[in-house]
Amino acid sequence: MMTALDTSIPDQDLATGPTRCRHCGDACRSGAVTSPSGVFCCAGCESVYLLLHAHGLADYYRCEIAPGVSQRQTAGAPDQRFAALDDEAVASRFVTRFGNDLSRVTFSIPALHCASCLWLLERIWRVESGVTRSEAHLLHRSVTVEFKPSRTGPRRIAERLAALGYEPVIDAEALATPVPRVRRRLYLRLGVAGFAFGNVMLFSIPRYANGAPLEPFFQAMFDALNVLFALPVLLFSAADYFRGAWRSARTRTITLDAPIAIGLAALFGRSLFEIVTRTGEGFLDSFTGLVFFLLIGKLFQQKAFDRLAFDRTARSFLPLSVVVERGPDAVLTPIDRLRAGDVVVLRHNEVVPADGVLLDEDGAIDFAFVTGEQAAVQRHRGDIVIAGGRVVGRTLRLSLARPVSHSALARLWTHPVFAAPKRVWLDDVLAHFGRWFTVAALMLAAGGAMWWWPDARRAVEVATAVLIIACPCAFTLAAPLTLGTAMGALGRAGIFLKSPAVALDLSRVTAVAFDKTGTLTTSGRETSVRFHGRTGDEARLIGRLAAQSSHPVSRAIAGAISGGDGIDDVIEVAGLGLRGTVDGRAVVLGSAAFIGAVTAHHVPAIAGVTWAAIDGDLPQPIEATTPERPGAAAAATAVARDHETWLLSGDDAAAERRWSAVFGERMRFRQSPEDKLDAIREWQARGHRVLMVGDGLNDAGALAAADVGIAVSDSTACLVPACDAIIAGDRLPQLDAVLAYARRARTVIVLCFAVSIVYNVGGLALALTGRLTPLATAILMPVSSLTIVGLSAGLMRRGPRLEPRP
Amino acid sequence: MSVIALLIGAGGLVAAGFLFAFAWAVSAGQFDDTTSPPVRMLFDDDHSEDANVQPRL
Amino acid sequence: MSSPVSSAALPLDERATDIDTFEYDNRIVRNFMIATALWGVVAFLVGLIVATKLVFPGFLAFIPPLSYGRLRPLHTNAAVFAFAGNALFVGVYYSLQRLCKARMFSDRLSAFHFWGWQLIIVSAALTLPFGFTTSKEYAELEWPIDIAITLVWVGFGVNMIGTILRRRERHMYVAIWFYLATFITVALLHVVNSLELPVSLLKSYSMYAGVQDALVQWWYGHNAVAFFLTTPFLGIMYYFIPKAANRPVFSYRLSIVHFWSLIFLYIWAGPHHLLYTALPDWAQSLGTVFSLMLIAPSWGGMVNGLLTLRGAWDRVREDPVLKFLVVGVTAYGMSTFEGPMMSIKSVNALTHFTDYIIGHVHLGALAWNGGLAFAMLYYIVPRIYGTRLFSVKLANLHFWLATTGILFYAIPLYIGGITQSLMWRDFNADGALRYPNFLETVTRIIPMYAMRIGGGTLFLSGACVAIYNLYRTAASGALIAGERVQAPRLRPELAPATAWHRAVEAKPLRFSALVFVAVAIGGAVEYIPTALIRSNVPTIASVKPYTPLEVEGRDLYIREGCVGCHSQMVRPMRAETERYGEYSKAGEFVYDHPFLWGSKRTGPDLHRVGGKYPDSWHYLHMREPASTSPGSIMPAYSWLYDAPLDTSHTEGKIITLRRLGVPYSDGFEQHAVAALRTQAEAIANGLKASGMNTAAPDREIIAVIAYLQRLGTDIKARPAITAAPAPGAR
Repeated sequence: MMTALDTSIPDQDLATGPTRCRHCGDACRSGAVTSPSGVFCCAGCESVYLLLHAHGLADYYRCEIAPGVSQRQTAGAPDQRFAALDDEAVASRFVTRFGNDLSRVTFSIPALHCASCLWLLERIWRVESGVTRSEAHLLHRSVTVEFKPSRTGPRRIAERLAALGYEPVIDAEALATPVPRVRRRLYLRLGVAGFAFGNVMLFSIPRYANGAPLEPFFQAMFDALNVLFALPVLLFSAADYFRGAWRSARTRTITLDAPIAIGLAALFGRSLFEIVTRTGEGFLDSFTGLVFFLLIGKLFQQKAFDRLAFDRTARSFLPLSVVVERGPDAVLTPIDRLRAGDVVVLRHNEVVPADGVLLDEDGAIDFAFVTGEQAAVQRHRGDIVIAGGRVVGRTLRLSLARPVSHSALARLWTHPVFAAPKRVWLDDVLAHFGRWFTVAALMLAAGGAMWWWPDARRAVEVATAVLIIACPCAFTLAAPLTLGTAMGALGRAGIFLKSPAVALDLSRVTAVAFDKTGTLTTSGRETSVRFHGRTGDEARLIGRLAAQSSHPVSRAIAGAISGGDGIDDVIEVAGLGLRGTVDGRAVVLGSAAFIGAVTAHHVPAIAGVTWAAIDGDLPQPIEATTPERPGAAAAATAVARDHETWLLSGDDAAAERRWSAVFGERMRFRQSPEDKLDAIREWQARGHRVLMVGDGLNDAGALAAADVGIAVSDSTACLVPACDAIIAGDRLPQLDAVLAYARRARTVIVLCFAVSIVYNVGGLALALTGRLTPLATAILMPVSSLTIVGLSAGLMRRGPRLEPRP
Repeated sequence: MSVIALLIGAGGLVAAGFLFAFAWAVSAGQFDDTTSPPVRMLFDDDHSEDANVQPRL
Repeated sequence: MSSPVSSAALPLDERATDIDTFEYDNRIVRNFMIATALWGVVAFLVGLIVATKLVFPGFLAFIPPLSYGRLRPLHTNAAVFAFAGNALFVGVYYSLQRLCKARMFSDRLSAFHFWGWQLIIVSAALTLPFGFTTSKEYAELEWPIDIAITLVWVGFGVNMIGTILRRRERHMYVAIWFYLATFITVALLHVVNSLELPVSLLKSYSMYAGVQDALVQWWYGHNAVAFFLTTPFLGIMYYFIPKAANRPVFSYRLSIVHFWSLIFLYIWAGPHHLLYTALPDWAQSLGTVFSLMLIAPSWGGMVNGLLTLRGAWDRVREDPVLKFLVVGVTAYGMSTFEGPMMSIKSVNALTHFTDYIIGHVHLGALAWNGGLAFAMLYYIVPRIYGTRLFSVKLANLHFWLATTGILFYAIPLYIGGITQSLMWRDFNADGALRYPNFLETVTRIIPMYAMRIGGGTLFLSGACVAIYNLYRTAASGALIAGERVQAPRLRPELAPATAWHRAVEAKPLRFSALVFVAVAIGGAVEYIPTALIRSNVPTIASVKPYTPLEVEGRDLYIREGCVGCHSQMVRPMRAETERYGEYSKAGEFVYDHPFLWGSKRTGPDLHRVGGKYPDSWHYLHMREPASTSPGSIMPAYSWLYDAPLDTSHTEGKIITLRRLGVPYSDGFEQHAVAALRTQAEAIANGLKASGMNTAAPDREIIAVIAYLQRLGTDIKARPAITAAPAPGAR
């Protein structure tokens, strides 16, 4: 049986500190459940625990300590979540049918994170009858389930997974699963090249080792075998370079592929000629080796974080389907089928799929993600509610004004900034060097040839030799290796780059813009409440009243206090405040205006402050503020030292005081997504290379427009639109270190470039004087590449360290 | 020393065989996921006690 | 459990029918474990005996089957094929079933494999001591057994591949790849190296001669170590270290790279066993280069194994399984460093033919193979007997006995080897050998031999402790012969759409791959005959085939395992030419089926011994070595003086050798025995003349003397003593 893997929370953590949830290991605060089977942070965790035990899956807790996923968020959510999967059209996106009553469904499961998860998710067949097999993918965070449609279905499976605490993401864009094809092909090319390299070396060493020429019998055999081995390398492994070169030739935009292709062609061509004409042994060992090293570089280039889906659009933020009132009955309808005029019914926490008109009296909607506004806003009958808003509190009915595709949310994505792919500096550099290399190489080759003319044979030899040696192998290795290493280190530190090249762009940033809500402050939902001038009892009274309202602030206040009942005659003026009698005491709670109207006292209207009075006493303020992200201010300040730093907030100026300390005058509030985008453009016009740090949809434009867009995210599962990198919320303080690290990576690359140039020049000297022997090439080629590898690896080890994420 | 040819032939055959095996493995997706398998092999087997079948002792 | 969600576990019929319930075959694992333990003790014991003989030549000397020369191959075979072999089968049969989530493909094949393999071992134990040997190291067994080995091995392979095809786990864990490599490569090596032409039921001649035979043998010898003692145990390492430490392997990617690079490099490193020999220079350098390159993957593997335990060292201190694994992997690192180093010519010049090599291989065999084997036993026995280890104390005792045993074994031999080698090449001021008498260099290191006995004893006693401990463990539980488990069925046809066909159909790849295979096959087919019959080794006119008597003498030399202590390869170094004479040329061995270059010099090289001493010296020396060489540790061969020479196969031998390309004129076989008699008479008379009155012409000793006196004389200027002109050479 399994004992705890050492990868989990160390035991002493569990011993000391607050009691930890038996299931998820979270600290047990209010709402904790103590049952015969142990202490749980919430009822949800307990039920999962019991479910597992009921199915003899207790081993789940053996391979890691408290591996579960906290159920506090999902607890009590309505179970319509996966109803959409009943719809064929929707389901077809996840399900593959095979004959004989067998289907396979693949879900992406953000919560899948450890050995225990893997273990459990591959044993669903024990829990759900009709499931015949399931395979989890730790890296992609997905699970593939084979099942018998006659016995169960995707919806039931999804619900089962959710019940186990592994809620599948089935948003409109779920499963941005990376296609392994490309990488497979690369592995194959690499394998073939490596194989050929090894064997060609085998048949070349004898000649180098042997002073005297080999017996003709072996000479012939080895040459033949070498050609045989080199063939697949030319036709298969190196194919991409020739394609690339051909493409660049046609489009007249020379890339680095060109000199490589030319070099390879020269290598193989000349080798073949020498072997066929028996005038020499050729350079096939160098040829195969070269391709091998080049492909290793490519491997690093293709590095990516499979588990993160970049480039997701707003659609992934929308639900798969919503309830639509068709006459008397409510029909679950995929959002693509929504038409203008449909009446949609949205429960608490559901997202508005398309712009519509509010049919109910009034309701609260939280636009934090779309606009960056902190507090939920009040909407009244007839108001337009734009897509992307999240319903807070009571259920709302909307009459859609236009289909999803035309909603304000969708329009944001039609902005040209999303159309054009971002310019990556590395590509520019490589393209530049590529041109330089090709021209230089060709001219040198021609020059060398002329010099030796009319000795045609010698001229050709020199020309080919130049082309061979000019092939920028080490050069092309430098960037991918260094950036790949950087990308890995950053990933371990909690900063995930979209591609290695992003590290290079990071290193050139001159200005940094921060979004406020969700970036410098933690996301809008957990508001911290501070009662001023109230005793615990009084606060409790106010809390109990607040519990009666659905207004987000009220909910926050109520949440801060364990609520209760015994409340009479509650009167709520939507969006303003409410009054009622709690334990026989008259309690008033609301905005300054409301207080002013209800009580005689006049109190100032301060953003983020609510007032409360008990039995007509002097109203006391209640501060409901979203807490600043720990270390965020420090991070911003640190960055500000050598970058022009701005604050771009979609929110009102409530927080101005607090942040002016960090940003001084450089603050802009009430910024619409377009405003932010324009601001970025403005600075870029001023010659800045801008880094935008944001989170929500409202930053999407800015993130896309900026030279580098970093999305702050508390769970890599959440939507990160149009960004080049994702930084885990708790790592924001590292930002300055990250930039420093990126700059270092750039220095290393420059150094490697320099070294590889030295090698090329040295080789050229040999080539031009016609002294480039196969042996020299065979040594020079790998040695130069290996130097680069060593150099890059060695230098990246030293210097600024990023402490890895615990 | 023509025996060397024999050895190279033999070795070559094996090598070619492995190259094919490699090609198969890669394209069958054997190396797509290098994260889960080393973890998966640690798990103990599902002894079928809970399927009301006791392992013969 | 009272809770809203608490529902009973799904009863079996509720579950999808595609969930298979099946049993792992633990009985076969148990059987191989017993075999491992028992043969292990046998191997260690025989090793101890031969080690003792080196210090006390008289020990058990009077029984021919127990003479040093005959027991040594028994020891090596027992250690490699009986102990390590059965151990690797334990590992494969235990882990493969679990990695594939499937029972072995066929219980019949499992049984066939087990009993077949044990039968082969027994037959080895019954033939080798009686002198039935091909004299090729690790391939001594005669042709009928070779065939049996092939059959059993194929059975094993079919069983393994069948299991893999029926697996219920889509991914093939890296260990499985190592097992596959083992099966395929060893099969090929065994067949190629064992090509031999039978003379009689238990006598055959290698198809290759001299240098070619040597090259094939060491291509095999090296790869036997590589693919029989290394790759399967690497697979075992990659399974049992993570399992025992209960943490995933340090880097799975690295382990995959490790496998593929090892596979593509290992097979070419063979020639490093033949440095400074008559092998062409370039082939030697090839061996060196590839051996050096091997450090990378080997150490990659070692590091990967050890780093898997990072953070778990506290557990290593308690758990005997982990202890043995750590020692094993560390030893693997050391030997895979030593190996490449010794393939550097200058280092090789120092260590080759000495006891350093013996130390080296024992570090590998005892620590790497032994360590992993015992780790496995300690891990598996409690599990398949549903109990706990009887005594961790005893296991730790075993650990310390084994470890100190290995040290006491290896270190003295390292010292002794280097010491002796330095003495061999030591010249005094006026350019003469400081120790012209080889015996001096032997007696000097006998204390080391003595210490080595101590080390061996420690290791053996450790093994006995282990067996007792494991026996008590098993006794405290009951064998779970069929471990019943459940796993979902794997439907290959449902495998996620792969690029496989497209990849292979990718024209260039398929094209060149097919061409390669075609050429490889063609090449093999075309060259095999060439290689086997027509050797294009530069022949030397004066080199003639052996006379019938010499052929018989040579076969006795093989029977008694003289090659175990005496090389026949004078390397082109002053120290050797000074001591032995002209260095050996490739052309001198063209009629040697098999080659007898040897790999160890416990006694002096014999390639130029011909004519060095009078027949009488040999006659006395082999009856009582100490009489001619005081202090010699060579055993006496009294029985050669009693047994009459068996000439019943002489004719057949001549015919067989001619088939293999030795130019005996047609019909010569009819006069072979007569020629033999004449030559024997001459020698016997010579002996009588010099006072050996008991010398009879029909004794085996005469043939041996004839052979020894012929050795390396063909290219000598002055005619050899028994230089009977080669009979009827074409």
